[in-house]
Amino acid sequence: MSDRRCIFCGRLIELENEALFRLPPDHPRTNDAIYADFRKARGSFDIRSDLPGVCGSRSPECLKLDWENGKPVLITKTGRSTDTLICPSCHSELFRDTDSASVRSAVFFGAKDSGKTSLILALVNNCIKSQFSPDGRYRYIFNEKLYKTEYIASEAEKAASGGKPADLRSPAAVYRVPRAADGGKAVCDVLHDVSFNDTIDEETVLTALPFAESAEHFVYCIPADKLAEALAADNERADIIMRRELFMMMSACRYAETPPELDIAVTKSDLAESPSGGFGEQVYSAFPSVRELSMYFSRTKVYEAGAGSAGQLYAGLFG
Amino acid sequence: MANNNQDTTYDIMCPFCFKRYTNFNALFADHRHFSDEIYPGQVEYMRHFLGTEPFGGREGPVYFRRNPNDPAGNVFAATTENGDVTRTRVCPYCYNMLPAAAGRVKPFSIAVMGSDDAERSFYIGAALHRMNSTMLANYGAAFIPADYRTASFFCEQYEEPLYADRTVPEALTTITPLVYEFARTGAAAPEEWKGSTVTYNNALFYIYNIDRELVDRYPMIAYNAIAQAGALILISDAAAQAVSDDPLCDPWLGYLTETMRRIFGPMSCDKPAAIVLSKSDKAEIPDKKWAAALKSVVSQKLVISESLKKVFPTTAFAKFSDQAAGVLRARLPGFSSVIESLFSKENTMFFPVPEFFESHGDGTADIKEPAAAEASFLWLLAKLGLLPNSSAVIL
Repeated sequence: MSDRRCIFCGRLIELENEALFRLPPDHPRTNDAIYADFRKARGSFDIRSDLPGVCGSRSPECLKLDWENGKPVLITKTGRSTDTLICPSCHSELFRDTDSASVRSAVFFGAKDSGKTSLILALVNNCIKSQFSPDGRYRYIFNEKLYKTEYIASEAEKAASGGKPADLRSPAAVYRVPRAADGGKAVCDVLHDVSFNDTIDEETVLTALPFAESAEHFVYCIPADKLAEALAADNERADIIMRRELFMMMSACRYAETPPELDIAVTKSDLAESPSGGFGEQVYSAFPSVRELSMYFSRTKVYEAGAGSAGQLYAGLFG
Repeated sequence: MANNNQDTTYDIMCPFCFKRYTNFNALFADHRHFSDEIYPGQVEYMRHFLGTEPFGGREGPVYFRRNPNDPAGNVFAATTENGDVTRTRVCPYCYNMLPAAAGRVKPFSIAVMGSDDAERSFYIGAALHRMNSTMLANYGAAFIPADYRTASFFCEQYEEPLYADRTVPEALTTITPLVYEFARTGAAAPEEWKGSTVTYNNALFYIYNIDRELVDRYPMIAYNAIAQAGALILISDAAAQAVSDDPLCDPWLGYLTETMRRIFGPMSCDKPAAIVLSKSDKAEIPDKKWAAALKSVVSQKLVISESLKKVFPTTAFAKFSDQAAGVLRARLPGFSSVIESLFSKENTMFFPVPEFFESHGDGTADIKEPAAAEASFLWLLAKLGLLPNSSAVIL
């Protein structure tokens, strides 16, 4: 039997022992407190939590656990069957192709109005529109169970025209399916939007961002105009604030077995003149702490996240 | 001396309540389940000593003890009731969250004591801020906050006022320790430096800013912090020292003597102690040796060893410290006799330093000579076996 990683909370679930199923949609609905708690922790206060109950192999309603077409199926004592797997920790749905080796997740964070959501929308919308990776090795398939394609397109357009899109309180997921000739498995790229309110104290970080511990990329968004201001300033304010924001997120991955990569994305690059050699040198001179903190990350890279560079940035992050 | 890259675990020392226990006794927090259970120990500690409510009045996570047969692997992880793995640990006595590195590396605590107006907060702000930015280049090490609370507290209390706003920090209202992590990469093997061995690559530091008023308010924490400290930093305002041979003339010296005697008894304290004499440039001590010692601390330079590693010039500093001690003995006999009676000579180093910050009287201040603050801290790290030090003279 295989395992699955919950793309909402990051938990790795061993299907043989821990599989939990949502009962069929027409099953009587009850208030799912665990699901509601997790959604509230992520800031979704208006979430509807009257859902059909859950059932595991050890539940009294369970008759047996079976396999159909390579998928686990639970059959209840009343003869109903369900194959909707859910996470035992947050009761969110577990999607296909999310075993431990197939999920690549990135957490986007930064100050208010630093362009985190806009960047995620631009990256995902680019995948939806282009359908294939720049090198043609992968086909992108957007997971529409989380957000509709039209919603992403309209919000991305709003962000591109200077509007402020709403926070993405659920992750956005894009499947990267390799060409049949190349073989290999599909990979699920997960993009998490971290609101400023998720990092106000340590308890909130640990409660609202459980997925950060298993994230492979921490993407710190810094607007180009703020970067230019930091370079021109005669004090260390920008560096101090940046270090504090990094620490806030580092406390979410302090216990991780493998350190994540730190990717610094310079957003809103149209607001400042792009240097000929890229923003790398500017970032290191405006924020000297990046070098010091890089000891705690497996790698540090600087990207320019402009309007036309979404494809390159996505490929740089996920491959 | 143990090498903490080889030892698997250390005992935990809680930075808040000072209880010592093994990793097996630490509690784990399940942040995916909330409980309305009240832990009186935690409530009492948070209210009385830190001036806050646990979790800001919200429901807290469920705390539980790890099952000895837990499938999660090592003692730093535990399986929660619903099968998830948690690595967040809390103290089983005061229920405060432990730093991630607790129990993995050796803990050291440093108590910073000082007279009123001796620039104690400036000193801590300047030293830690500077060490944050220079340790990597100089020693290939990182010295950074070990937990969220320290990062946030240090930023708000010290860094932002001093380095961003250029204002004088407000007086401390809590006795919260600053928890720092020292991590050095690529030097796992013990190193020999003139007979002394440096083997620690990682350590946890609990730094207590012991304000006189806070000692009176929270004697349990303040006295424990001093008693448990591996090293002490004593900051005294050199300009305010009375030129008298009667230490009782100075209330600060009387208070210091009483505190130290209460903790260590009549014997002198044998812990490494850095005696930082702030505002030494303002002290009216017309002596060439004093001026030389002051200059040396400000312009401290690291020594490049034969193996092209940078080392702290302990011997060179000892020379200037002896000069400063000689001057103090002649010029400030009262102060000198108190220090010599409280601290052992071989573990004490004098650091005359100029004023750290120049206050403009309107609430704003300018940073001066942060390197001087760093020197004493680095000497303590070398004395505790964390940084290599050399008997070579300053180049």
